[in-house]
Amino acid sequence: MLGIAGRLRRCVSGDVQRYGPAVPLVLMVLMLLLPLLGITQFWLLQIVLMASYALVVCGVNLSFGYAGELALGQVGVFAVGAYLTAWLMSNGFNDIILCVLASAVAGAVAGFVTGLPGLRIGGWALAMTSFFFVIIIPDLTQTIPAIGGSVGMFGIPEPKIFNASLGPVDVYLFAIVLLALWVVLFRNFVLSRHGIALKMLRESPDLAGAMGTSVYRLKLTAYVAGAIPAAIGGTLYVTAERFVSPGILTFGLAIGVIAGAVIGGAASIYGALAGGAILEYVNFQTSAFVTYSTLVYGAVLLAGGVLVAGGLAGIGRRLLASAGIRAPSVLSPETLAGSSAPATKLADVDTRRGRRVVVRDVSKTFGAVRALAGVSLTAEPGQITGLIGPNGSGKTTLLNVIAGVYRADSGDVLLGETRLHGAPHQNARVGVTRTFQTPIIPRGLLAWEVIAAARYEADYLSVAQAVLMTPKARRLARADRVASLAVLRQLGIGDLANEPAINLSLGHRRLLEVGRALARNSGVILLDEAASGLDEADIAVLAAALRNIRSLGITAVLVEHNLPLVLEIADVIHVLNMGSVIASGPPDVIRDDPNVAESYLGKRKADRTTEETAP
Amino acid sequence: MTLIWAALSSGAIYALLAITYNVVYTSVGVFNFAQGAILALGAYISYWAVDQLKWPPLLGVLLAAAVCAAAGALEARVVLLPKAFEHAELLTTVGAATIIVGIVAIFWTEIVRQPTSPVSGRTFTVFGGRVDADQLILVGLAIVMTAGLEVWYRFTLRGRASLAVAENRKAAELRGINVRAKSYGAFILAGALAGIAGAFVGPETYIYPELGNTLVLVAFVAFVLGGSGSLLGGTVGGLLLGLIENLTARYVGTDYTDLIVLGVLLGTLVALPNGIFGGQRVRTI
Repeated sequence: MLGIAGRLRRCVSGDVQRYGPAVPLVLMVLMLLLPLLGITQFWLLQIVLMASYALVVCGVNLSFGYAGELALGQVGVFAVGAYLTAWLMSNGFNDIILCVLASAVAGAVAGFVTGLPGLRIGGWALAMTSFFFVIIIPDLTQTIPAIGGSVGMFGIPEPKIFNASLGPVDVYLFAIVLLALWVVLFRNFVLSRHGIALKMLRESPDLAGAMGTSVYRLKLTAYVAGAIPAAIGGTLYVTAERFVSPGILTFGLAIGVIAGAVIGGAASIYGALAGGAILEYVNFQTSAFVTYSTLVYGAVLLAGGVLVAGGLAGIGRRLLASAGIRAPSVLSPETLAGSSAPATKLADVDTRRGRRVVVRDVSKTFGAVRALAGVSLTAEPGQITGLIGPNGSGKTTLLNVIAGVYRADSGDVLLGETRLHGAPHQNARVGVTRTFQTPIIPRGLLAWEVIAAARYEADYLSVAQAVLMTPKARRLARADRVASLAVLRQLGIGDLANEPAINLSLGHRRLLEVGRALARNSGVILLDEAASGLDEADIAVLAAALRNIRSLGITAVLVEHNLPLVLEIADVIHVLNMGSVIASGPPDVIRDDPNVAESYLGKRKADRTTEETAP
Repeated sequence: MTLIWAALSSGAIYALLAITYNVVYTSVGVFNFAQGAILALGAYISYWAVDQLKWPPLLGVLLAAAVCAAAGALEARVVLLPKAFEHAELLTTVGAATIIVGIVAIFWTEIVRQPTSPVSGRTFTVFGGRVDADQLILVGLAIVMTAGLEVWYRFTLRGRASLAVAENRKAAELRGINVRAKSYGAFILAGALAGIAGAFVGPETYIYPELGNTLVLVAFVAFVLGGSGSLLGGTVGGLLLGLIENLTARYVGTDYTDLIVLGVLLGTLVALPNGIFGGQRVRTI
């Protein structure tokens, strides 16, 4: 076993990045050779159907595995593709390329229309609404005589390609080429920064918003991108089966498609192919087997919700990893060596400019609680502004108002000269980035990817560019890797770049959050209790990182309970109590302010006097 | 009026299911997709006991309640495990429903069956409309369950503790409430109620393994329309949907009922996201 692993390792020199794109092509050539090996027509048909379901499962993978929303609209979109193709072919338009293109367009439109309302809701409501769409398809088709009503459409003519009729073998070859093409595009998409952003979105929409990503738009992108293969799957289904009826579009199919996605591994490319193949394999078994398949599907779904195994794809990844073959997301030794020059400064990576934050008379109440009662303060660029105060004094509320999580009841927050308002992602886009009291580090990302995800909005890369791997996409992918590594090095954790981020210690995860803000080229960084739970060594590292931020001219706002730390590194400190600023000034002044001591340490002046006069 | 009675009785079916959704939702904060399948299981158990084993109807109802409570407990065993990802209940509860459908299909095949009613087949004239005993029982059952649960939640310590768990699991736990037991209890109670409901629903709808899947979606609309977490809301929502469905079928056409119900769902989600009786919930980080 070890011998084989060693040989494999030498063979591919451990680099999926280089050889990964060749995998679908090699698979395609192997599949194209099957008819020469005398495979039966029955199996050719089965494989085309498997490809058709694989495309639908791919669609579900994009919205469920990558964007984290269980939307079954893909089964509905599959129906759209199937019916559209059936109608086109029955009406003389039987060029298969035309049908695929028409389905792709119709699928994208259908995905957009159903996703638009559905994704606003998300969660259960979205899942159920999309289930509903699946149930309703037979109703809808029954009312339209042009597409066969409740009977469906039979005897669909042979597909053609440039006026040449396609036999079963030709259809098979076409399906394989189409599938291989899709796998290449899909792979480009999920390995691009869009894929990383989607993984972040799946784990924490709050985080994605705080990083400047419009959660809604990104979800819609993934959903529409997933609708296209689902519709093309419908085309393949019709060209293979030569009929379509409302009877094939059932609740059971919807359940089977999710089960297929889970078995294959919801966040993977080849997993979707395996899932689609299994789905079709189950479908053509005897009816007794189908009865038990319901049971099996159910068990698969149940297991999928509580195991993080990642399906067949997860098993495959672990095998590859144990053979020493790196996943495509791991930084290569060349990248790690390339920017190792110790002189790499953050300033070299990006030029950034701090902006003044002015809070003007901000009030915020929650029910009967007045969390902020007319707070005014200023945070200057190139300074660390500390916000201290007892629990419930309004520090975190103020931070949330600046970040855009809460809307102030009255008063303004200004960034430079402009008024800040709106959602967290809008504030993040103008350069206000926050960290969280409990670091939000998405599962399934490497440390460098966490940093890279923060660069998603920095240089716009369209989905089309990512999918086609244009020079710009390649350049950005390289830049993301180099810049993320530089940020990690600056924070002193460059050697952890290839570690799964979720496994890092609390102190390192805090640093990742700071790094995220740096990578976003933020002018303003809001730190929510960044030192809580850290030991002294970690705090020293964090303090160094904060001084670094200050030296870059960034505006840092630090909400903190650790008084010695704030007194040590802050330039200006504002003390909040009961929603008002009771003292402001440099650390020396704050340290000696009697009001602060009273509210913060809970001592009364009278007690202080007695203590002081006591012998 | 006969139409209204028919509408109310089919609405009562959705209401009964919505009640069981709410029982789980208020205590665990999870929408349990499997309630529909559990209700169908209850219908089959009662059919098996009464029609196949010739047990007295009351025993059939009790057996259905017991088996469905057990099904709820088993489901809870998996659903309450640590989640693999944010919306893991989407998979686990749908998975549990699919398993139950699969088991029912293995034992009783896909044939549509007609259970005999646990009550007499007599018809009455009430408020000028004809209604049979089964239909009246369904409406009555929905009202009794709603009232009983409302009283329990509002006026008993245990009921209030359940609400506390729904509000904040951690805080409730720190107050000494056994959150785990409460969560299991909710699944078991919801299972038992669905089982009882199933015994009475079966004779009305006839039974087939996927019966639950047919009901689960419309009942979900009732659950959302009434305001998720509101028992009274779910019941009112269910009855309203029964009216909407029956009136649509009568005056527009049966092909359009699902479409109209979907319209109600989308309309509610967009215009009234908290439902008729749902309170405001503030989201915080």
